[in-house]
Amino acid sequence: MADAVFIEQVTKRFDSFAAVSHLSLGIKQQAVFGLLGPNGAGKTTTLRMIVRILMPDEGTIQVLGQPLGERAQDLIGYLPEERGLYRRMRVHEVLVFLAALKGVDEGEAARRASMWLERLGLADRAENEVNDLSRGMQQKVQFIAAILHRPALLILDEPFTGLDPVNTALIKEVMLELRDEGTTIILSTHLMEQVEQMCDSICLMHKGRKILDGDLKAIKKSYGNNTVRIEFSGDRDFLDIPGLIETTKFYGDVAEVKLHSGGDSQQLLKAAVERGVQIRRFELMEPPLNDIFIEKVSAGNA
Amino acid sequence: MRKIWLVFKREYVTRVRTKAFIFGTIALPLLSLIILAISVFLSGGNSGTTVRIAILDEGGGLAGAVKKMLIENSAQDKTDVQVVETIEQPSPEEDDRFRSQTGAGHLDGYLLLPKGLTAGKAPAQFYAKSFRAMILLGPVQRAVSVALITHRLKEEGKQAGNMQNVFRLAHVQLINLAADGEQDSNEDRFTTAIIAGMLLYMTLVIYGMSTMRSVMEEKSTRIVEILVSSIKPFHLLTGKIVSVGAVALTQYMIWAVTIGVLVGYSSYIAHLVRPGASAPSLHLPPALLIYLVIFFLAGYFIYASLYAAAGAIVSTDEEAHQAQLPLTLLIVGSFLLFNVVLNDPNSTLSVVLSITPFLSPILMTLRVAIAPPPFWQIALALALSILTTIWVIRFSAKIYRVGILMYGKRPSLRELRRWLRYS
Repeated sequence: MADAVFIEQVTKRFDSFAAVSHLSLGIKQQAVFGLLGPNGAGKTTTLRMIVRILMPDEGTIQVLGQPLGERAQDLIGYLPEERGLYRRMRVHEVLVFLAALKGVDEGEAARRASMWLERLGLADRAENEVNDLSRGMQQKVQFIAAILHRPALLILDEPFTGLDPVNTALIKEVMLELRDEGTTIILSTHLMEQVEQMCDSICLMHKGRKILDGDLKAIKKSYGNNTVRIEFSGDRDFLDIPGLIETTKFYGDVAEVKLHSGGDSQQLLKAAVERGVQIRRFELMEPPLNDIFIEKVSAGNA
Repeated sequence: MRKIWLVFKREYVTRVRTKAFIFGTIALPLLSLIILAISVFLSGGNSGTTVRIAILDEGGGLAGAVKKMLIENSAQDKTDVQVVETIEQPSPEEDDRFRSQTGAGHLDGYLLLPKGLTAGKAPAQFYAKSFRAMILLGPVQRAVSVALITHRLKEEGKQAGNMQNVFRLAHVQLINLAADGEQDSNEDRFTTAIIAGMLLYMTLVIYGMSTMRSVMEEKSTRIVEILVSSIKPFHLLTGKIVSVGAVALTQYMIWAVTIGVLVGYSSYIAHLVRPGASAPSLHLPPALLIYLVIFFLAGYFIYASLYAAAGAIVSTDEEAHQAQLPLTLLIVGSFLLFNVVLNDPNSTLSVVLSITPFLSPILMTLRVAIAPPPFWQIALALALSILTTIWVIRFSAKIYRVGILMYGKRPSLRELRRWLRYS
């Protein structure tokens, strides 16, 4: 099976500034792929090149085994980071128009639009002008616009910003459902928690370059299991064990402790018991993606 | 093609639905109805339209004859004049009195016949304030001439008894013979030309700006990103421009039909306003209507694609105002050259100007309306206009392609040149 997206040695410059340089990337089909990186890393530029809004200066991009063109374009659904719809059009009308532009028959588009508006709780807003909708509602309408033509490749640039937890969960549910039906999803986000929950593989970009990519579980494993999460009540002093702990972070009565490589977590437990600290939870965990992200990016800045 | 059609349809439907469109479409016929009613109301033998003048005869012996001639000829001259007062050998204070009365609007004007007039040493002077009085200049001139000649003959000892019949001056009416052999009066053609030019000027500016705002809306709401990921920018631009043009044509059609009906029933409407009144005629030859539409399209495509490019460059209303200024000036410019063409529609300058692209839509229509130019000139103007349009659309599409995705600062001219090399 061809890669959903295959990017080879792609460079995009704006004047002399290279927003993306020499990026090569293969994205597997029927999976959720996370594109990560700090602000200005070149994520949105990369996505815009995949949807053919921007043309790369160098290199090639293939989508589902085809070179980028009008046919490939119709296979892609895109939710841009900058949201917006025609303000004075009715919700249902906008959806039919956008789906028809992707090649869906208008009658069929109308049926699907009604179905999805119902599913995302917007059925009673179908005949309202877009203007009359709240921002969160507009965002859901845009999400529907991105999936209405049943794209094989769905590109979501920061899909959760501005959504409340209920709607975030709803969108996530739909995304996973689409993935199970065979859709490839590319997700660009800052929220590491979402990535950890949803993504099968990731690519971390920084300053226009790829600094890390691959299967999410494999990446985490390679960073070792040397983080301990302790939920406790009592004095924090027991964590002062010379030579064992690299960093400690406190979140209320939870401590996230990173050990030096090869450090034995049992020493930590022993110290706690000796000092009479009440332990409610003691967990050996993979390093949070957040830490990997920060570590990689700060290393890249140096 | 299907995608262009979709863009076309969306733009057309949402536009025709707007209040602005409905209002504009209704407003023009309504306005013409009101103007028709007002002009009928003002034109019929109403006391408000009588021109009131006085005659001051410094030498004496002429005023009576002038007054008689003016009144006698008023029917033929289609004037309604009333000589309020005639004074022979007035004092200088009386001169001042009439001047101040005219200034205050009690009189429309006064005629001063100086002492040296009979000897041919000084000209008669007609002091007029209102436009209505100025129209009297011709009749006044004739009346004074006849009175003067009669007076001189009398001095020579000739009996002037029946001389007034001898000196009754002929009226020459100017009739413009159109190419199709149709007769209509020059004033009608002049009015039609001005109306056609105004209409073209207004619709070009209004619909050009409308295209620009449409581009800006897609840009500012950022929906353009979704659009460009679905359709080629050139197709998007094409669909949009053709659609706004179709909206304009729809409006034209509605106007043409309603105004046609209005003109057809104008005498009936005139009768309603003031029983017995006749309606002013507006002559619209069908050929002119066809050329009006053709040249509207030619002008529209040039200007709309330029306005679209301008809309793609800018991000804020303030910038939009600056960017559209040169375009609007270009249209206003051709409007200002109106006079050149009106004065002498067939002079070399008029011909050259009316064939020049960008200017031709308005100026050629004007010439067609006044005095139909040779067909090859119309054809040449159209051909040049179409070639320019193709070039301008290509140029605008490139600017549009880059511009719609650029936010922030308005680009400098140098940056624009680089954009042209991008795509």
